[in-house]
Amino acid sequence: MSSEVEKFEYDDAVVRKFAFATAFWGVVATLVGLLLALMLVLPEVSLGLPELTFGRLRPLHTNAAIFAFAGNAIFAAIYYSSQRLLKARMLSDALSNFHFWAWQAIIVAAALTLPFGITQSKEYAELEWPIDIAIAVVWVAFAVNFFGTIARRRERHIYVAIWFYMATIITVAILHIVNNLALPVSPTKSYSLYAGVQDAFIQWWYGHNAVAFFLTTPFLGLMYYFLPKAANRPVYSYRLSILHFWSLVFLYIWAGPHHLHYTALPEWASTLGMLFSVMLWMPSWGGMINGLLTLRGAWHRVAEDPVLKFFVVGITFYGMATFEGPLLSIKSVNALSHYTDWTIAHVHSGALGWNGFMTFGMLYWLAPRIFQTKLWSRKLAEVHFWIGTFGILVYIVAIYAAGATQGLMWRAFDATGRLAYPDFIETVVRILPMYWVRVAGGLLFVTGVVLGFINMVMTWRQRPAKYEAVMDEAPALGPYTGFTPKLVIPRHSQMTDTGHRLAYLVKAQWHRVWERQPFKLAVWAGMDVVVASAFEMIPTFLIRSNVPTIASVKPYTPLELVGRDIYVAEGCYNCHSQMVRPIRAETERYGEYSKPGEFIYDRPFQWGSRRIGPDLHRVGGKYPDLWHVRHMENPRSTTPQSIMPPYAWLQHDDLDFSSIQPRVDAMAMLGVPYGQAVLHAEAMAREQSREVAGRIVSQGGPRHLEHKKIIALVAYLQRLGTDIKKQGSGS
Amino acid sequence: MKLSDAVSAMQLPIFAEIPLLVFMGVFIGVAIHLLHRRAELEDAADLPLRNELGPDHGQQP
Repeated sequence: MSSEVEKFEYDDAVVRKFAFATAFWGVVATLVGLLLALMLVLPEVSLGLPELTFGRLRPLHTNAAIFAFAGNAIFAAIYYSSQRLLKARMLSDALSNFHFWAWQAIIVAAALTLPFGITQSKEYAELEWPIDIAIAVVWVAFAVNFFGTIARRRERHIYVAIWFYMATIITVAILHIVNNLALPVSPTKSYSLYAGVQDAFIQWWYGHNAVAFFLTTPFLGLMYYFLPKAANRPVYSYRLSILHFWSLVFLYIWAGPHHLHYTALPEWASTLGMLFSVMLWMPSWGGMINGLLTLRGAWHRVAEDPVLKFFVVGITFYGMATFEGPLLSIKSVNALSHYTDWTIAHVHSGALGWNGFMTFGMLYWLAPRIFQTKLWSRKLAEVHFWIGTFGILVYIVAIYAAGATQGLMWRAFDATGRLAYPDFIETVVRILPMYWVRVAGGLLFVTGVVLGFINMVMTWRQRPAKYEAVMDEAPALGPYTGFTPKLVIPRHSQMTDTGHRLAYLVKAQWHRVWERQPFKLAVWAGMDVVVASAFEMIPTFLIRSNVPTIASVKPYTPLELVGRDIYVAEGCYNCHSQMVRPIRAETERYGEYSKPGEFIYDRPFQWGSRRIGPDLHRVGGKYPDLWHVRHMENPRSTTPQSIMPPYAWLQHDDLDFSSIQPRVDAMAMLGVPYGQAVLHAEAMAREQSREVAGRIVSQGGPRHLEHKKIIALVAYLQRLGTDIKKQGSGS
Repeated sequence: MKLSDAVSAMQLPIFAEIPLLVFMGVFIGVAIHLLHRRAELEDAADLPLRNELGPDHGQQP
């Protein structure tokens, strides 16, 4: 190692930007969440505007919470801690600034597209293909900056927080690219390369690992850096943190299929997801215990330090959420919890408690350091902590109760063996009081977030006229001259070569090498993710018996296809599933359970993850066309206590028939056997629209709807789940 | 013979058993390896506690 000490300056300007953006987007994300919670009890809040419906705004809330609030938080954490742990300024200030501004532009693009129904409808991956490409470009710039900084580091050992960051950067890139592969139809519309079961599998492989590698691993890196800083103590067990890292990275990637229990996904896949999810409990709790025990000897400081308070509660919520996650992955529990608010409560205990509180703890620790002044109000930070904690508890307790209540009501049978609550709306009305409590809890949490933002702004206003340069010094890294374990196979050994190789592997001496060779570490962590994913994907895609075809299942007509696209754009999947599980309570309520072969033309799949309204997979033919027209115009005209917003504009907005042919062409390119429709899609759509409009008139409905969007939507809804009812259907 | 034929012919449990065995091997290896490096890694655990030059504004009264 060179003995020459170098002085260098850290770039905290980019940390300040990301920290501010975190606080700002935190306010936006939680306010939109509060608005959505209010919509569930007061649907009038949407004011009859398409841009303000629950279906369109819910993705805005989730994307803002994950990618704007948590995303900016992890970038602030990474830029601050990596520079110090690596003893190096970021590789390029220009790349840092590009990362910051481009990421904010992407968030703004999300805010400008999702409310207008421009969506892929894949949860947490709703953004359309041009924005997806922009995300990939920004992510690559971030990765170059990050790994470039590692390359010119002055600290030999790569601290475990950096490992977590590396796993995040590599895995998120893989997840994002694979899940968003799509064929563009126009700048605002694309169709997924995957269909039905396979699309669902890929989506939840992505969805669960977005939680793992965007909301967990980077926050664990944050924990392993900022908690020791705040407690002024090293992490309780560094060795445990290494085991935590490898176990988590290895196991998490398998868990996605537990989101699809009892669906048309092959059972072996969901069982595999369940097993790995249960195994995840161990490393997760190892990490939680490691975090909490870091405070050994410093617990007295927790009472007086709001930063430590946020961290302690945040880590406790990590423990709660990672205990509950494996529990919910168990099939019998999932049968009750899935599609109910139980999942929503679970997600919010993780997002508000773990991600939210770790972020706020970090921001309160960072604020005086990056703004080089005292925190404006420590007391306000204390108020934020207590109001936030109370808000989370009020929120999740109400929603846990709502989830359990609704789940039990859905499956309840009376003494005669019939559904005790056959009308779905009964199960909605029963939980409305709990939704009001959720609004109260959410309001408390949002108030805390606003107080935090005010504290940040006021601290910033106290900043010095000119920030001092933050300097550090360290010797440059020279060539490594220490012990390097190597695989040595003696010529005349009694043990075979394989035995020597196995011994080298088991002694894990290679690990010592990786710890100072970050690129090797990154490549192997990436390989782990790729190989684990391949072990699930290859059988899912290649075993024919996974998706038995059904002869009577045909492609959607051109009009139904565009109707389906309206269903996607309106975000109907946010409240309605299209998946009747093979559970008696479901087949009694909805009809025949859903088969894998019924979804082979569904791009993207629309199975949903929550039933705020009933499942729609067998809604086709259940009601007359006119019922759908009236229901969409004003849901309370057909279901007096409905909490669904009105979609009156669908009767006024013209259907763009000229857009149908490109949609059919794209589907045909993806292998959908469209036959003559490829040549005459628009004419076929016009003909079917006249038929549907004629039926509506004959049922006593309004005239002149044949050119309106509602016709296409009705055509699609009436087709849903009907193919297998046709005579002569068979596998 | 297509790849899908080969994969279809395999027993499904193998797709879970192989990675579980690999995981167990790596986990045990890393755990044993770490047991012998307590002092070295305790030093690494101190990395976050090394402060930059100049005042720590967070410590101001």
